Amino acid sequence: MNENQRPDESTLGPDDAFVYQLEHTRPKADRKFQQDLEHQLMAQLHTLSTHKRKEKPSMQYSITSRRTRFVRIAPVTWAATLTALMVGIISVALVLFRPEGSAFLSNVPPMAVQVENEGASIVIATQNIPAGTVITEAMIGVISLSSADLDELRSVETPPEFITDASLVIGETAAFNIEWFQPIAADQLGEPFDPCAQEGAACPEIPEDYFAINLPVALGAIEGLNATDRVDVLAAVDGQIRVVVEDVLLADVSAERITLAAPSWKHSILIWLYQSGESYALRLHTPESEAEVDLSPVEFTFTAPQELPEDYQFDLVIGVPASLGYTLTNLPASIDHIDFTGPEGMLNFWFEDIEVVSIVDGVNVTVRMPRADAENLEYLFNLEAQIQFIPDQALNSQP
Amino acid sequence: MNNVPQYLSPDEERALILQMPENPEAFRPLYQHYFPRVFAYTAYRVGSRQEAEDLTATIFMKVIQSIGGFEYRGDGAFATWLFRITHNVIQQHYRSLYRREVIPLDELPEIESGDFLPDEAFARKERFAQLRQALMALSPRRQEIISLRFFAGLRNQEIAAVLALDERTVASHLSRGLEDLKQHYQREETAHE
Repeated sequence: MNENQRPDESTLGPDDAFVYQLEHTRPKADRKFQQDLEHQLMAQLHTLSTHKRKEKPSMQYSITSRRTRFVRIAPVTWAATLTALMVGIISVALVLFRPEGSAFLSNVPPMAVQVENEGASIVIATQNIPAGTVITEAMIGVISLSSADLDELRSVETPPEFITDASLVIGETAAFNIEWFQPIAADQLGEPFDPCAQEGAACPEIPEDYFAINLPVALGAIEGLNATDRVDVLAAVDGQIRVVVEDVLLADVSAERITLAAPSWKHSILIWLYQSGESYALRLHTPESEAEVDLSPVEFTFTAPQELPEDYQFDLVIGVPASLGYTLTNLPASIDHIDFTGPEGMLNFWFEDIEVVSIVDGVNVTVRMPRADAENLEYLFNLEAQIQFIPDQALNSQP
Repeated sequence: MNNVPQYLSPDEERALILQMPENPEAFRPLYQHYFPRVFAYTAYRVGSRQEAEDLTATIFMKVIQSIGGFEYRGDGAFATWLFRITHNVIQQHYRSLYRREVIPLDELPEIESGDFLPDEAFARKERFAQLRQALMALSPRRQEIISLRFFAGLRNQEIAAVLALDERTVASHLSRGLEDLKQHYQREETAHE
């Protein structure tokens, strides 16, 4: 990167000065350390290649099934490696003790959870195991802990009884997500809990990437509408009846409530509506009101609210309060494909993969992006939405 | 060899990864490209230069021990895999019973010189300490995400893959974390004026 093009920090606004600090306070390693490590790694790789190992190394390793391969590295680094491995398995962050006689242990044979006072072997996960996964031998290992280490493990929080026999885990299903190096306890095994499998549970079918919300039924608000209809939601905003959000799914209707489902940004507006306590009405959504999404690339020029470096690469985050979500019903094109976050009543739309064409005089910015996104961006700028420039660190690091 | 990170395009990276089974030398440019990012991220997470070096060595040893099982699945796959290993190693380190809360200034890592003058080395370390202190004030999740974004250079999608989160969650944490960080940093700046 051309250092002459780095901005003078004094010309930047207060927000940019901070981001500039964050970007340019990058720790660097000692050159000799980097070179020495490179030599060791390459020697190891060549050794592995020369000996043509029979079994390919894998991220999924079992402590009991493979002999540890020792590598000649600096003593302090080797000690740190061992220390990191051993202290890691004493992790207590995710386990809880249960008192004796707890119902959670009722299905586990007592032998499987006994821990001797002199220390014990416990079963741990040697990789992340998602809930619902049938556990295999390759996913677990057995480690030995002294009684002092076990006491330490139990002293931080209230842990369960750990499983000591690996054969009692193999073939079982993970009821919850189990993390790498987490000790496995009896209450982590079994079928994942499915609330919709419970008798009497109301679980309408929600499309993937949609989020649901229940709203109380207002008299006359849903007349003539049925579950699975696509609807627009109207409410009183600033003394006027407006369409607050368009084209959401009416997933379920009952005597007391309705369930609406929508993509995340529309869901956030519905949450605002619910929290506002405003009464609402639904109408059937008409397909003619939908806009097509044109993703052909166009150049879009705008004036940045703050000075930017000449070669700056960035993502744009455009924020609109959820209370003004109704203004988005007039967007030129669909915005559903844009990444969205909704922290505390803000609707933040992330425009990523922007190709910055030029930055002139620090504020005249030309970018290349899909036509639909450019039109939406222009609309959002005119709403005086909040604008954040998030630096694209990978591109900004190019020489 | 200098300390300027060797930039690899996605196509170059892909070619090197596919060469590695037959040609171990293909790992060298990958190492030179990713070492500064791994070290920077690790150094910000643990603070101490010595610990960062030890952990960085551990990370790359795990990488070459596991490289035979890595499957190339598209742009960003290697970075995601590498930083998942990095994240896990640092998580294990955090579970250590012997974490120090205060790191002496002389144990902090050096900062890349950029266009700073040599005699600003002390000031650069102080700035690192201040920024790190601000970062430590965030929740652990936001610390991870901001570090992966700014010091490891990962995109939101890659961060989501490393941390097994939804990409929207990553973006939300990043946005809020930056806001919190800015406010903390500006409060500290005002207090020192």
